[in-house]
Amino acid sequence: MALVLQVLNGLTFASFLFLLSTGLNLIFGVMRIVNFAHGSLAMLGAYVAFAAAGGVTGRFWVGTLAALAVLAALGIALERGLLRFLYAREELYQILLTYGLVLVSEDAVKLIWGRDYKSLSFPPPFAGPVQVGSALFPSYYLALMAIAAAVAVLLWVVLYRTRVGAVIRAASADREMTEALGYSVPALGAAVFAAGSALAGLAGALILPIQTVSPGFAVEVVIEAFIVVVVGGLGSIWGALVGAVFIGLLRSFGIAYFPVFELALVYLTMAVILIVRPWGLLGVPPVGRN
Amino acid sequence: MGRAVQVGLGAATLAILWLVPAFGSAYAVQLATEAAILALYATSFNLLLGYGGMLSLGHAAFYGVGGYAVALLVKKAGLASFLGTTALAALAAALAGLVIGFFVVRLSQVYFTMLTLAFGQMLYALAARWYSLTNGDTGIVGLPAASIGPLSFASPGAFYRLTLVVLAAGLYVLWRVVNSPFGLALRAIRENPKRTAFLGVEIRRHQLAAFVIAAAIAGVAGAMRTWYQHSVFPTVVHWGQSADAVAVAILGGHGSFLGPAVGALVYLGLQTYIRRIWEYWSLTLGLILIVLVFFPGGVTGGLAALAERLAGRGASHDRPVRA
Repeated sequence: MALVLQVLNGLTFASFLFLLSTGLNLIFGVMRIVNFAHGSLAMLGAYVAFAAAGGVTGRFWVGTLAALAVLAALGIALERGLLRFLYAREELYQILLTYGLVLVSEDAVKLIWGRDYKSLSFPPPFAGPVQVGSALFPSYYLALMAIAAAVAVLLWVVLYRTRVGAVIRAASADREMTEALGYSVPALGAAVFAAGSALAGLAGALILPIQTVSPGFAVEVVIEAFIVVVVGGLGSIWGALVGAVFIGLLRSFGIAYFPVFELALVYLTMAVILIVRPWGLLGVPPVGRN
Repeated sequence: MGRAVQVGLGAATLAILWLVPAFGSAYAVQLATEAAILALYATSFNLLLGYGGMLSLGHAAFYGVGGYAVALLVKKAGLASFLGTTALAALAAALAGLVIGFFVVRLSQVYFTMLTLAFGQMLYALAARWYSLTNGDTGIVGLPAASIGPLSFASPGAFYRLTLVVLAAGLYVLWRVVNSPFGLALRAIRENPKRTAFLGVEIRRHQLAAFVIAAAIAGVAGAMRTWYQHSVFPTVVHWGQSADAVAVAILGGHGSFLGPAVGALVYLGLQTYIRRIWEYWSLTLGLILIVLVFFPGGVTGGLAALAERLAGRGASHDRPVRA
């Protein structure tokens, strides 16, 4: 029984990790942008959701939708306003710019919302627990898993079963060729960045009933998101899912059996995977790189 | 600049810095000590970024190993000598650099950056959670003042001058490294790894050597930090500390040897000044970094560009390292 709950807890955390990191992965996969500010987007999503829900749990879902919309708009503004000027330059400058955004966002949140921790209680209709065997398990955790699964399916359908998805995949493989075929890669880039940012915002909003959010949240989660995509495979659509489940379970069991070294265990696993398969579990070996 | 001019300028700068305790306030001495430690740390980092083209986000690991090595040697092993513990801290950091470097130099670009971050955070997790060794968040506190034999560096002025000597020694070592054939090979690898490999240069071995040297010097900086604060906390290993190295190097200009040292001064000066106006230092630093992305070269690059423009030769300073 304890084992089942451990797995369920792991999968709950994995659901959050998947929502968090799939946008990062999408943006890297299509646009080769290493977005260090992805955690900041999630943090902003959480704060926007908190503000829009007004602390009243009945409007939790309104807050979530607001987070999605605001973060999508912010994503477009970031891509069009700043990041697009760096595509021709070294990766270093992208990391640097987005790191600057992390610093800015941390203080901006303090300015607007203060330093204290924010959280929301479980929203209806998932306020109560459900019976799992002989134990009780929060029904909201199951809802989170369902939402993550729905997002995964939606992403798959869009990317592999629609024309837009085909063009996105084409652009990630060969920008110039896609452009030559008459598609607007810049517009596509902005759309992908908006989608990735909205997903980050969604992750931030949905974590509010589970975990308190503070201005330090951005840095905390961006490292987790990077671990997930690096383990799963940077740029691989399914990599984020596999990485999230892997890391989610690893942490759940790590906390139970090695409480002191649980974090070290996660980093060590990431290092081992990177050494054995530098491109991640489901990633593709880079061609033409040294 | 001719060699004599360089040596003269260096000596003059050192003399001026030496006089800070005589004329500056206690606060100025404190700030200068912190700037000297940060300068050494950031210059060691720039051996990787500016010369090797390797963006490490885990440099604080070695800063931390050095810092914790001193604290543990004093508190647990009962050593008291400044020179002995600092040398051992450098050795410990070099060893950590060898182990971590062995893994990370096999990867390139974003994978290298991510793996350095992962190793850095792993050491952070150990420092924060391994209570029986590090006391976790409580840190290791109450270290005595640094001393060499009968010489005590208990007064802030004396410790500052000791830090200055260590900084000068560290910069000298790094200067010799970057101007050696090894340093030239490192720059060649940064510019074009494939072509350099064809010339018969063992790329990984050079990168690993640079990583170990940078780690050792960062370890010395970490040791100085522990001696300065008489304590050490897990924050010294946190990735924010690694990011500070990046910010300082970029602020001063990672394209020149002394850029990060200048950056350390600018960084601490700005921080002090901004914090007087408002509490949002990280927002300010973030905006500065964003601007520097669009106007690269940092303070030293900007000054060099200005000097050249005044001299009538318009030139941009983006990439090249001038040693």
